[in-house]
Amino acid sequence: MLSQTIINGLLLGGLYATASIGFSMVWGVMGVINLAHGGFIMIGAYVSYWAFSHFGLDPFFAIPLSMAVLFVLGYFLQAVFVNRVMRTSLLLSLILTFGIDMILINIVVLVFSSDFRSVNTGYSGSSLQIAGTLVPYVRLATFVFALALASAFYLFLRRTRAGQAILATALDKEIARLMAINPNRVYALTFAFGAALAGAAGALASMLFPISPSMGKEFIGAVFVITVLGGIGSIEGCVLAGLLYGLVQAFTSLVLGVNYQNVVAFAVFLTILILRPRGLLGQRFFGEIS
Amino acid sequence: MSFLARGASAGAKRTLLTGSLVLLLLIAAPFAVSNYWLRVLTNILMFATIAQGLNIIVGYTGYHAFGNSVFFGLGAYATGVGMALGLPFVLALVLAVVVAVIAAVVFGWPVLRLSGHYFAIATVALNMAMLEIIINVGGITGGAAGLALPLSPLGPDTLYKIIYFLMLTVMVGATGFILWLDGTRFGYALRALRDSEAGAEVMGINTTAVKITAWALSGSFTALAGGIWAYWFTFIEPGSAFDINVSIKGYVMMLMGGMGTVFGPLIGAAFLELLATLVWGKFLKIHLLILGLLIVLVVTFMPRGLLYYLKSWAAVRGRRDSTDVSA
Amino acid sequence: MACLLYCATAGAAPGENTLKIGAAVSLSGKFAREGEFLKEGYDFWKDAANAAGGIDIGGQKYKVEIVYNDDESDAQTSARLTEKLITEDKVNFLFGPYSSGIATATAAISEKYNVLTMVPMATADSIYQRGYRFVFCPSPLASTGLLPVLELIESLPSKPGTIAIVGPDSLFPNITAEAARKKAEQMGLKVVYTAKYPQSTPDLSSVVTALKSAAPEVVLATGYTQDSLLLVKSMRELQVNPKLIGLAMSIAVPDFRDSLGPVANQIMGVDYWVPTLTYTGHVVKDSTTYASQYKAKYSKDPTYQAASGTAGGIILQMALEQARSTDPKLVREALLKLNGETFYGKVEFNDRGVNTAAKLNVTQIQEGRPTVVFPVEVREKPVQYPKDAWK
Repeated sequence: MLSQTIINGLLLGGLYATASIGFSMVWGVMGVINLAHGGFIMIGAYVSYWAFSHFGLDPFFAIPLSMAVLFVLGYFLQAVFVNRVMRTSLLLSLILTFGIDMILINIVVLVFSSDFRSVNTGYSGSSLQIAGTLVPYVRLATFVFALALASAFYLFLRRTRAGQAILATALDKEIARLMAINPNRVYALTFAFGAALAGAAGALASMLFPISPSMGKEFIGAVFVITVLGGIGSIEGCVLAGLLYGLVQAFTSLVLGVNYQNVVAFAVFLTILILRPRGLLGQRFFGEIS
Repeated sequence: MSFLARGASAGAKRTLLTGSLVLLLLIAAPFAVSNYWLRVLTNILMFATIAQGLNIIVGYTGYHAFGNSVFFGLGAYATGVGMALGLPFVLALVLAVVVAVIAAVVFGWPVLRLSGHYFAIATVALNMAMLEIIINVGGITGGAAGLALPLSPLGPDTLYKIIYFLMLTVMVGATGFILWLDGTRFGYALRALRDSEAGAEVMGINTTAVKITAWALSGSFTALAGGIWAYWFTFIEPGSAFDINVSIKGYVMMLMGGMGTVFGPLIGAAFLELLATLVWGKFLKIHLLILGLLIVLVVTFMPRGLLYYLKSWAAVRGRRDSTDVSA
Repeated sequence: MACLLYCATAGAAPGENTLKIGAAVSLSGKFAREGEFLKEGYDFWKDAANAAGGIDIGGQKYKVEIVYNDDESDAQTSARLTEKLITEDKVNFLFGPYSSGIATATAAISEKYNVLTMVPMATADSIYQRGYRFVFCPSPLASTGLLPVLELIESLPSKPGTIAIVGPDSLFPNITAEAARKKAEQMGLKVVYTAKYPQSTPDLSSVVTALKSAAPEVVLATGYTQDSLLLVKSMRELQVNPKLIGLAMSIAVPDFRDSLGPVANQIMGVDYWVPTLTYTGHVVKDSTTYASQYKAKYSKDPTYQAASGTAGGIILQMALEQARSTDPKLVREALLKLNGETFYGKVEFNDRGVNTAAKLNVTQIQEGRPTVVFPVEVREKPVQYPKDAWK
């Protein structure tokens, strides 16, 4: 049972980590806490479902599709709404994104209804047996994919011009501007990438969890904890924190009972906020734009 | 920038007059409207109280407590548990305030040290944590299954009027408090803190004590609203008592009306609640969508609040002595 | 303010010979699906009654009109709606909402105004222990939720010895789980594991891991459609193979079956109503007729929520015809005296509004079809036990 618990925790943690990266980056680079992130994940899941039910497209292939859709959506939302509000007050962006989330959820309700959907591929449900523990294929695949995405994004930030522009803007907006980096473009790109990653996480999640318009709300709590635990703006932090989170949840369930999972998660969250808001691997300059 | 300076200006006198008129109308209302509209009005008063509670900690102290609904829930449950233990309703409400103050002190001390975003998020986490705690404690709180409060033997007309007047009293109390606050040392300390915490410290203000007191006051009013709500509905569940939407709605109302002003939150509450009620009657399936759109539009285009725009419009239109509106 | 006063005093009285019924149901939010089913059920009855010329009350024909409002799956909203329906729309009667939690809040209000409410889908026992006199429920209560499965187990030739009960931490499931646990212990079964998970949890792997370790022969679940789906999928992923899986809800919900496909086979659950029941009644002759007429009308199969809604309407109609009046007190008396049956089941209310003659069936998915397997008198086919291991 112990090893099964560990496997469960790690596999789930990987997915949650990917779900958090976009959120963490947006917060780190732009100082915006995007409450619509859950909505983005949800839309990613629905894109995957739609592609699967209409075209029989395997969800893994729907990932780029989800990412593309969310990238466009994210870019648009940032350029038109978030950017304006960022200029007036960063705290207003919380309310704004809350409103956006509400709109996204209700549009999906209108289009797809509140019925629960699921994506059932031929291989879902079967598991790999390793030394007495069962590793469900789908969970393993999503885990691997999630980490691959995280690594890809990490490399993107460090190795490409666009990525470096994002990091530079986070570090010092004014100097970046002097270096011919347009902060507004950077912000829009960051937000768009954040949304795209959320979309990917949603597509992955569509294989594991029931899909419904409010599924984003289940994620956002975990996303918050993982972001803060790992350090706002840090991808490595997200991955580490995600895995930790998964393990903590699994063990809490084992030791205390499943109904204590949320209490423990919030306790962890509050403790970090109070004792070490920087998180495990966060840098000072992220998240504190005035 | 005091809204009501000791030597009242013409503008301030006019506002006081309008306020008194509105109060008179509110007192007369229950005897003229149907029970349904009485319910709507009571709801408006409840949200106005919540918005005013937020106004104290957000508008005046500058600490954006998005999770202030934790006090609403604590007030509701304190009242519910109190009555389950045999307390009469009024004493249970007193218990609600006591619990809120304790919570503000106990949680405020570590959490109010955080700034900006962190504080906001921490309060949300606090709200969720309280929800989970109530569920896990179970027992007399009813846990996830909910808690039923004793049914009142009074008939609907009498009962709902009493609830209304209770809510009105609390709302007037909160507003009156803010009105009074403006000219006092405490109010001055709050605004100094809001504008620059370091500066306030340097000036000798005990910022920790001031912050916690402000939050305790904010929480007390919110808890009273929650307690009355609990008795009104006769049945509470953790999900609806600690509903983060209560905070968010209150925040948007405060924003819409104008935060840091005395009457702004009331205007915001009345406007948003009435709009929601009317829209909801007509557009069954998409009212949440419309609410979301409204939130987005308000925040994007009217972030300084209705009161601000009304006042500047009034100042431009009439060449009157318009008092400066706090930012 | 003037507008408020005007709106408030301009309520219209119901017209001659129209029976106005108010219904606050969930058309959005977490109970939106079930709320939609319930609404369709109520509408089915309304149309059937009106097609027959209306309800005969004391010699006069009354046309039925139902005023719907969306309670957003929220108790606060529902309470507000209830008051609006009573004071503004001046309805004669109320049809209740889907959730027990919501109904608890609204019953307090309708009771204050002495407006009679029919709540076919609010089955938490706690509602009926509050002393309400005008709330009636034709469906069996939550505490009986899993008992038929246990009775089925009792009737098996080689009985299992260990049992686990899991479900979300919520009003209805808690009541059902607790009652089931008591009965299981009475029957001599060993309860090896219980769990209450947060209702909207996205992941149940930890619960299922614990189940695997406890290795019960029977797993009973009290969850809603979404989490039951998750539970079954997780059990398959982690190869948890009890001999019997019983659900308190969802077994008849088509979504549940369709999502699982062949994986759903041999899972059983409790059902309020299936199209193959043999009760007969007023307005709707029997279940087969109901199923085919419903399908013709709404292009999909009826669920038990819809059936309960229609039954609620029929029972109200029966009481109105007996009482020969729309006075709630007289209708209440007529309901208390009622002793009959509808396509949905038998009807006999006690003075708390509980239908003591209501019975649940056990349905098992056999070859993709829900099949009634218990009680023996109404079953279509014998139960398939023990359950095959997951493939």
